[in-house]
Formats: sequence, C-alpha cells, structure tokens
Amino acid sequence: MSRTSFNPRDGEAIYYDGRSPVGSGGRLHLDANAIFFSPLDKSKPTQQIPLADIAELSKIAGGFRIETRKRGEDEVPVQIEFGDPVLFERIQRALDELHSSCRKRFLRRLDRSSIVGKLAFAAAAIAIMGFTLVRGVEYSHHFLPVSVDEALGQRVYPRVVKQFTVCTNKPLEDALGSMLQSLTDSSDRFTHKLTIVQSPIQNAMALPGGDIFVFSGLLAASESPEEIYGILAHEVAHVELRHSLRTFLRTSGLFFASSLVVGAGFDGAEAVELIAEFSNTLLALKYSRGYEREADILAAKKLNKQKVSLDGLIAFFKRNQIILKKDSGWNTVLRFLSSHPMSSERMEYLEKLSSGQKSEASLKSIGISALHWDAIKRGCVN
Amino acid sequence: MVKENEHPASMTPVRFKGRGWDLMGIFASNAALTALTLGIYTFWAKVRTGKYLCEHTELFGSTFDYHATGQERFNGFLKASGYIIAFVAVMAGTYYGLKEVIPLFGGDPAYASWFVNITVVVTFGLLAPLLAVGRRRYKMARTSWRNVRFSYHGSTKEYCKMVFRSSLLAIVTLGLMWPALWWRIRKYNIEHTAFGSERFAFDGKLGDFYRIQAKNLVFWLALAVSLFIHHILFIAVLIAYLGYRSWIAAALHNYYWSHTSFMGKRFQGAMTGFDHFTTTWASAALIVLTLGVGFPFAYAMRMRLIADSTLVAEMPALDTIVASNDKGASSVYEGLSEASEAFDALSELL
Repeated sequence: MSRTSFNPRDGEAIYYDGRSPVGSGGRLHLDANAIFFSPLDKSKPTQQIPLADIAELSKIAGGFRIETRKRGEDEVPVQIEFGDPVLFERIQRALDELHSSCRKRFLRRLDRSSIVGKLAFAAAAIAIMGFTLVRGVEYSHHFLPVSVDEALGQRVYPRVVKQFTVCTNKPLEDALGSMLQSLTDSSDRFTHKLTIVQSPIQNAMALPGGDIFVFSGLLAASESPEEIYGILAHEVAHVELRHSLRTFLRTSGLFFASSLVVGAGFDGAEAVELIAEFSNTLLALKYSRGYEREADILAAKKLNKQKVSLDGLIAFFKRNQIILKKDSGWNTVLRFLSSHPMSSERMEYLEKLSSGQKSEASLKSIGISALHWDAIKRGCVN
Repeated sequence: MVKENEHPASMTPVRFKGRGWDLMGIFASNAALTALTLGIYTFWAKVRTGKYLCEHTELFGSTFDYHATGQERFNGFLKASGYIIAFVAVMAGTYYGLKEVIPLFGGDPAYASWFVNITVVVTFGLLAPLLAVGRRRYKMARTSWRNVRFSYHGSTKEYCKMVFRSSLLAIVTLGLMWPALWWRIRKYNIEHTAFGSERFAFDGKLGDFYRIQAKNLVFWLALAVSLFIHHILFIAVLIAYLGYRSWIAAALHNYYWSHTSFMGKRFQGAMTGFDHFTTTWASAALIVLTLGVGFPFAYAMRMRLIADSTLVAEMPALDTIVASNDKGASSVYEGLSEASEAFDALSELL
C-alpha cells in the first residue's frame, strides 16, 4: 500500500511487519497501556502493542512513525505510520509518563523546545564550554614543569637555525650578552641564550625555554643600544611568562572547542570548517596581542629594576609606527591581523608605564656608549 | 530545482521534505550537547541528523528510516580506538627494537624508521578499501524503506583487487585511467547493494563516463597551459571551470542514476547544470554571509537538489521482495574512520 498523505483525523495508519515492504492499512487507537492496530482487512487479527514495547515515536515527512522494540535476536521490529497529530500527542504523553528518567526528560524538553530556545541553549553551552576549554587548557601551564618549555624550544631551535645564517661577531655578541645577563636574575626560571642571525627583518623573537633570536636588520636599524636593551627585555619577558607554551595550549583549546561544534552531527561541513579555521586564527591573533602587552609590562618592570629608561623601547616603536603610517591603506587590515597590539594603543600604555618610572635623575645608561654602538651594530649586516 | 511538470509523466521523484529551520534546531541541539559532553555526544548527533534526513526523504509516499544508534556508534569508536592504539604501540615497539637490533648486524639504524613508515603506509593503504566496504555495509544495513533494510554485499577481497588493479593501471597510464577507478567503484557499489532480497543493477558504459570526464580533462589542460601564459588568463579559466563544474556534476549525477535500475524499473537523473550551479553558489553565499550559521539551510537546499532530481520509473512489484537483515554489519569501520580522523588531528596538533 502506498500513500501520499494520511487523513489526519480518522486514525488511518499503515502497518509494516518488517518482513515485506507491502504495508497493511488499518486504524490505530490508543488504550491505557497499549496501542491497537485494526487492519482494514477484517480477516486479519488486531495487533496489540504495549506502550513499553514502543522503542521510538518520531515525526516523519507527512506524518508520524512508531517503531517497536526488538525483543530477540531474530525478532523484526514493527513500524506503524499514521497521520493524526492528536493521536501522536496522546501517545507521546503516555510514553513520557512511562519513561521518566532525568536524561530522557531533559532531551525530550530540548527536542520539543522552539528554535529560539534551542539556539539560546546552544549559544550558552558553546560560550561556557568554549571559555572553559580555552582558559582551562591555557591555565594548565601552571602544572607543567619548565622542562616542557625547554623541550619545545629544543625541538624548534634547529628548524629556525636552518632557515637563517647564524652570525658570529664577537663585539656584538659581547654587547648583547652583557645586556641579556643584566636583564636576568636569580629568580628567573630559564637560562637565556642569544643567537644573532643575518636577516633584513627588523625583529627579535623568543623560543620557549630561553633561546632568543635577534635579526641583524633590527640591530642595524637601532639608533641607540637602549632600544635593543628594551627589545631584549621584551623577549625575555615572553620567555618568563611562558607565552609560547601558553599560545600552544590556548590554540589547542580553541581548535578543540571549535571542532566540537562546527557542523556538529553533519557530514560534509567543509565550508563551515574553513570559516571556523579562519575565525580561530583571528582569535588566536587577538590573544597574541594580549601576550605582547603582558610582555611589555614585564619588560618595563625589568628596565625599571635596572634603572634604565623605557624611552629607547618607545623610540623604536614610534619609528616603526611612522614607517607603518607611510605605507598603503592596507595598513589598518595588516595591523588588525598583526600579532602585536595596535601601535597607537601600545604607545599609550608604554608612555603611561614610562611616566610611572622613577625620576630622570635616578635613571642610568646601560654602559654602552652610542658611539661604540654605532661602530658595532652593523657587524652582522651582510 | 526540477519542476513538477518537467518530469516525464510516468516518473516519480524522490522528495526531500525536510526544512532548514528543523535542521537548524537539530544543529543547535547537537552543537550544545556535543560541547557539553566534550565530544562524546557527536555519535548520537550524527545518528540524530541521519535519522531526520532519512525520515524526511520520501519515495512513493513512504519515507526512509535510519536505524543506527548513538551507543552502537560510540562502541564502534571505542573498539576502533583500541585497535589504533594497539597498532601504534606495536609500531613504536618495532621501531625501538629494530633501532637496537639493526646496528648489531652492521646496518644503519635509520632503516628502522624506513621499515615502520612503509608498514604504516601499507597498512593504511590496505585499510582504505576495508573501511570503504565496512562503512557502506553498515550504512546500508541501518537504512530502511517501508521497514525493510537495504544491504551491501561487497567483499573486501574483491574490492581490494579492483582498487589495486585500477590504481596500477592509472599509474601506468599517467593518471588517464583514474576516472575508470571511480567508475568501477561506483558500479561495484551499486551492483552489490540490495533492498531486501533484490539487488540494484547498473548498465552504464565506461565510454559514456569518459565523455563526461573529458570536459574535466579539457579544463585541467587549459588551466595548466594558461598558467604558463598569463596569470589573468589562469584566473579566467579557473573561474570558468568553477562555474562549469556544476554542469559536469549534473551530467555525472544523471549518468549514474539513468543507468541504475531496480527489479527492471529504471531510475533517472534529471539534474540540470543550472540547478546545480544556483544551488551550489547560493549555498556558498549563505554560508559565507552568515559566517557558517546558515549551514543547515544550505544543507537542506543540497538535499532537495539531489532528491528532486532523482526519479524512479514506477513502483516495482514489492510483494516479491523479502526482507533480509545483515547481522554482520559492524559500526567498527565507521568508528575506525572517526578514530583515525581524531588521532590524525591530535598528531597534527602535537
């Protein structure tokens, strides 16, 4: 028997016995503890199905479907399809009374809630779990020994070195070495090691565990040793604050959280996965900007402890800001995508930190004259 | 979409009657519960979605059904994870063992890594056909229409042989025979699928399939040539290809379905390139503009396109069909695929 739609009122139903795809038409009605299917063919007996034997009651296109529980290995479940929404409601209520475990009640309530309710629940659950996972996984760095940072750094170090030419220049190494030494003290958890590499890039970077790379382009572009001193203090702060490990943990948490919800339960959600990946990258950059700020603050404290002015660091960033402003209109986008804070925002808090430093009289130089610095700073420029 | 009056009088379309909002509700619940259970609910979520899609796909007035359970799929995943962990442990043991033993015979310890890598590649190569057969068998065994299950009778050995021979041929012919592999797999899958006691049949010719694939080949060649001429030309050819792919995809859909039959009753593919084009790009725009949130609506659009453009000549003689239940179908293969993905993501992260 085939159908295109059921008459919703008269309890019309089709019974599929699971042995043949040919269904038998009949009427369905509900009693106190069972449903009864009475075939239209009066020669066939009425089927009684106890409510406890109903495994599933579901909405299907154009009607509803009941499936019975499979009692034995060889027993075939029966399906009955019908179109009466009132009968559906009544069977549903009867089944609700029968199966009243907490989990089932919750799932039923969620299933029957409006789309707004479902979306609100999803938004709340995703926000709570997302925040907990990202923050929780990052927080776990407190329980990881510093040897984890060192092991990570040891893994990355050869790969970085492979990409650049390492420069050995005694006067520069001595100058930078002494700066680095004065920035670390007995309370530091890591041993810092300096590597100068030949590259026009005006940057420095820190690996987890203590290795710090300084690019020759940065040294050549500096106008005073205090600028480099400030930047080294910033990189040491990254190491001390374990930013590489924390970035790894936070990103892992972020990607895990997003993998849970993106296309949840749907196959073939590649387009959405791509968008999620892009959003995750943007979020990860936002977190990096937070770490940069943390490193700036700790660097300021270190400079303060050494009684060295923050002016060198500020002068370097200001010069970079001017260079950026001279560039094309893509700058706003590029700066947004940057892992560093917006320059103006950075200037603002650095200047605030600088004004909080001790009086000018108490500040001292770092012991390398500007003349000597000018003579050695290009030592690694190819 | 295929319009009602476009169908030949005697043909009945498969209909997808699901709604985007319903799918959105399912997606929201799935996402919330998967997040709250740290991913465990994903198995129940997949079943829930599969069930909705089947229950809202209609043929001759009767909807399909999906009988897998979340628990069953979760168990499959756990078993599969156990197998993978055991395999990784054995491989790690072998690696460290060989690294010690090989130098005793004067060999280079680097061979240990070679041996393990080759073993892993061969194992996963052999696993691919096993997964393809096992997953299809499970999916078919859990899908029904009018309470009679579908089934898949492909054998892993035959499938492996077919894939191996066709892959070898494709390599020898510098990739020219790759489409033949896809064709053989599709033909094999259709011919080994049954509804109750009756099997489906496929009578497509490889030549006709190649005529459709030739259009792909022309575009690939044009892309390669334009790359050497000018980048603007390359982008123009790429855009043309991205658009024309819809016509190729529609032709393939129509080719497969128009050569498939069941109990002598023929199916027919009635997709037009324009339908595919509008659905694909409207879905893409919807996903991008809503930052992925409109994904369930795009999913519903796609389901509707596929269902509505698949027609059946007439109802076969159902009274001759006897139900059969494939008790050997296991969720472990589905679990193996999911566990491999999970372990792959984990290893990428680390």
